[in-house]
Amino acid sequence: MKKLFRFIYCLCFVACGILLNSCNNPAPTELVQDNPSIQNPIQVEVVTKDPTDEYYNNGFDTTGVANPVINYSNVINVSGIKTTENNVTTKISFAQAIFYNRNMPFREPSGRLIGYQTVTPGKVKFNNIFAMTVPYKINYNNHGMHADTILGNMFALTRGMMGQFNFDYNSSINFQYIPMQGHSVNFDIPTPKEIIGKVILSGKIKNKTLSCLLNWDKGNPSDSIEIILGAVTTAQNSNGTYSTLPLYKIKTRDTGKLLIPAKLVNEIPQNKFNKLVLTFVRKYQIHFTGSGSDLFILSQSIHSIILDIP
Amino acid sequence: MSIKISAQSSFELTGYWSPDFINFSLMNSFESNPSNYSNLKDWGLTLSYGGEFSSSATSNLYLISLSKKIGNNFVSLRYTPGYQKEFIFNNGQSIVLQDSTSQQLDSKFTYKELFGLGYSYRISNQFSAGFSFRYFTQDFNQEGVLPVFSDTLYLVRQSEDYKANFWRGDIGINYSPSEKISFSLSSINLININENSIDPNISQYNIRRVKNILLGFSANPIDSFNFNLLFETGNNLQIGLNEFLNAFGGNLGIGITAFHDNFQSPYFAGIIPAISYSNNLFGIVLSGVKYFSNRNIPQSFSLFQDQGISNIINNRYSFDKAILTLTFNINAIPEKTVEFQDVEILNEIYPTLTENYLDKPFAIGRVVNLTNHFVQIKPSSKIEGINNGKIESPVVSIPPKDTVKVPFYTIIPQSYDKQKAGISYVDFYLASANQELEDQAQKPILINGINSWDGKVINLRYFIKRDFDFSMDYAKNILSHYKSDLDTMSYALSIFYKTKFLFDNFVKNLVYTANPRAEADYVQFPHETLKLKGGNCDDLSVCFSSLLESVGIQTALVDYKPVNGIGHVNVLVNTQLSPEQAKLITQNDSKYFIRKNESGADEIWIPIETTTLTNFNTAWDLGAQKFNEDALNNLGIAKGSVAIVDIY
Repeated sequence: MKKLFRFIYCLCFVACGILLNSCNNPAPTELVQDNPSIQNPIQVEVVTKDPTDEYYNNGFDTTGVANPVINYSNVINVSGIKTTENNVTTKISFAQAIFYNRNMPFREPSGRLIGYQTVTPGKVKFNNIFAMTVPYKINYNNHGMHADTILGNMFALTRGMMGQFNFDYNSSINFQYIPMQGHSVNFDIPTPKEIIGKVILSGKIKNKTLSCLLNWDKGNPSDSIEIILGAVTTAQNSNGTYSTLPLYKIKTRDTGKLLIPAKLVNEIPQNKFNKLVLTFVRKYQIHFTGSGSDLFILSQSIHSIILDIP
Repeated sequence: MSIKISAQSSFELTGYWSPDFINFSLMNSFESNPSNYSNLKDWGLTLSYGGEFSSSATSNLYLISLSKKIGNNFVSLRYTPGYQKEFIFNNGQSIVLQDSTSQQLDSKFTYKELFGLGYSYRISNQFSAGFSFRYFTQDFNQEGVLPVFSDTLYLVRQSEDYKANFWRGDIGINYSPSEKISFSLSSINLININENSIDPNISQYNIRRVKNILLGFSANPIDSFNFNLLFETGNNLQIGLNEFLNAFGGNLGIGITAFHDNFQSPYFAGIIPAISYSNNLFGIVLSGVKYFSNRNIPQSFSLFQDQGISNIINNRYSFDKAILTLTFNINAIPEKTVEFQDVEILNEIYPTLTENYLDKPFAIGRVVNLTNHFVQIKPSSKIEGINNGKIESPVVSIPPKDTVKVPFYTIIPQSYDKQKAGISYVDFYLASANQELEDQAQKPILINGINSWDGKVINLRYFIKRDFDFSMDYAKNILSHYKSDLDTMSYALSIFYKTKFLFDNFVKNLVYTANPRAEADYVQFPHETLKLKGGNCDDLSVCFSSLLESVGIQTALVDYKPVNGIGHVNVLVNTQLSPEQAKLITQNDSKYFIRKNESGADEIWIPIETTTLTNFNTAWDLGAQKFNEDALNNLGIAKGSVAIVDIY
């Protein structure tokens, strides 16, 4: 009998060894995210790749006003911009139209394309107000040194310039292009609903417990908004100002609420930045493509909130 | 966080079988048996291996367990690597990488039951109580976005792990008023001990642990059929039906279990068909879990977030399974098939009556067969002080569940020579056909001295035979003095005269003496009688018979049964004369008796009254006179008051 027991024990150990080796984990169950009210899907993108560079050429600034993107021949941008700091909110309306000459690119010394020369043929009107012709100036990094250049002119209009241009939310802005020759082009640009943001900060960044909860007047949950998380440098620029760097662009649904992933704010270097800039951007984008030319229209409601980092 | 309604807790991969019917299928199954009840005999080893049928089939070792019974204590340990459930979902975040591609961030929640231990104590044949503890791990892995500020700012994926391990403990009792019915009462989630502080972010995903009570009922309305019900006070239940057959030297079972879980649909969420075979050494169960709803469909995260899971191996996300369970019942302690109910000592031991115990039991044991089949046992005994080893008695076959009387025989060695009586003890053994000890018992027993006699005249033969060597020397020495007489007389008369010569010499120096006062059944061996020069009728008859037998003269003892408490014994001698030759020794036909020998021929026997210590003729006369009066005239032989006891 003892031999039999010994045999059984051996058999069991061998069997267990074989079985353990031939095991795979049970298949997981994949769950489908089906409750947008609980957690917004968000997409995070780095905006400023070099946080030490006070001059960036990434297409954004923390006011939310885009330096016109350069992938299109013609760009029209109308924006209603609010900036809140220390509970004081300033509002401006802004409109610009830029016409690129795609045959005249402008590159950094490193060879990176940063823009095109512009042209200003004819005249432009926003809500029947003539836009001014102003220099189209860009900043760029020249071997680590700040450089700027003017690539031509563009049409621009802000509140108070040449009349009372006003960005009407949830409405439309009439755009009219009057060429030097030929018929004028006239169309309405729809404007989004005004975005009113609110930022609730809690915790301390030095403890890595800083929490950043965003609220805004929600729009259509199926639409997206962008939130640009930026920071203000502690060091002064050579001209005595402080730079505001947009760090991340967060794309989420327009549900009115978002808790910024804690790591995004807690990892911001305290020695380099002392203020946060949260910019809420609700926008319409329209892209027309014609024969040999295209048009990109951007209509934005922007609210930037500047806060000290606790 | 818990919710009001609860999910099923008492789910078994092998289905639900009666704990008393098939031991192996429930070994270490804390799900339906939190009280760790078991009727295992010694060691038990269980191994469950199976596969799960999701979109792809996977196999895994579900369970390894080891059990041990120590007296009325039962301990079990189990390792359950296959008791795990994993969920993967997109946590709603994605990052745009430097190459402008987008990468989603996922979360993975893994629930495992790693091991468990159970203890139970058998309070009585009806009651058992115990507890079990099980260790669960919960790993919540969530991918997040981590910005890295260096020369450039970039985003990386970072995994964050949260653990929420815990112990779960439950207690329960089992009650079996009869072999056909059993009840159980157990707790569900009675004790919960969290190993880690629970992060508020993931607390809602913890395994739900709602306290409940588990009630079990099992009945065998007929021998081969078993009905089982498990009901949880959270309104979950399991119903099992099992049928058994005796086949292939074991038990062949087929069963089906249906289960209802509040969190699964339809009402009976699935069934567990199973087929089993078991014998004394091992058991095997092939079972399957078939859910009635389709599990290979996209599952809702919000539902998971709302209801969670309560049971790792049985929940709304579980897949169909096939399980093979092997159990080894390793009985290092042989399982008792028979046991003593009682042992009765029939007689005290008289060491001189050696052969008497070869065909007459000195003890009877009442032995019960505990099994459902015929059992053959080998009884044996060992009397301390007499036997050096076990003395085996004949093999006895006992019908299933029957009780029989088992006789015990013994052998007294010729060398035993203690003259004083004493109390000793005797060990009785019951062994199986393959010599494995089944049961044993011990009883005290009186061992008399070698001169002790049980009062039965027939047993005086042992005193006669024991001294043959001495008697032969003594008789031959006497007869040698009559050599010339014996050589010249007719051969037919030689026995008669040998008897006469021996008796006349035998009685020369003897006197009649009674036994010592305290030893009424004290018999002297021939050499003692001659040495002590006397004895009573027993001693003298034994001595004279021994002298005659030692020289080939056939004798018998005449047993005059006690009248008024006084019995008597004397000797009959076979002269081997034929009735026609009787006149050669006497003309008085009342002085001899005719008995047939083995070949049917008549022979002349003469009675000798050995207590007549004068001479042969007187002893013959008195012997014949008493025999005629008591045995013949008073019809003593016919009535049984007189018996002739042949020495051989």
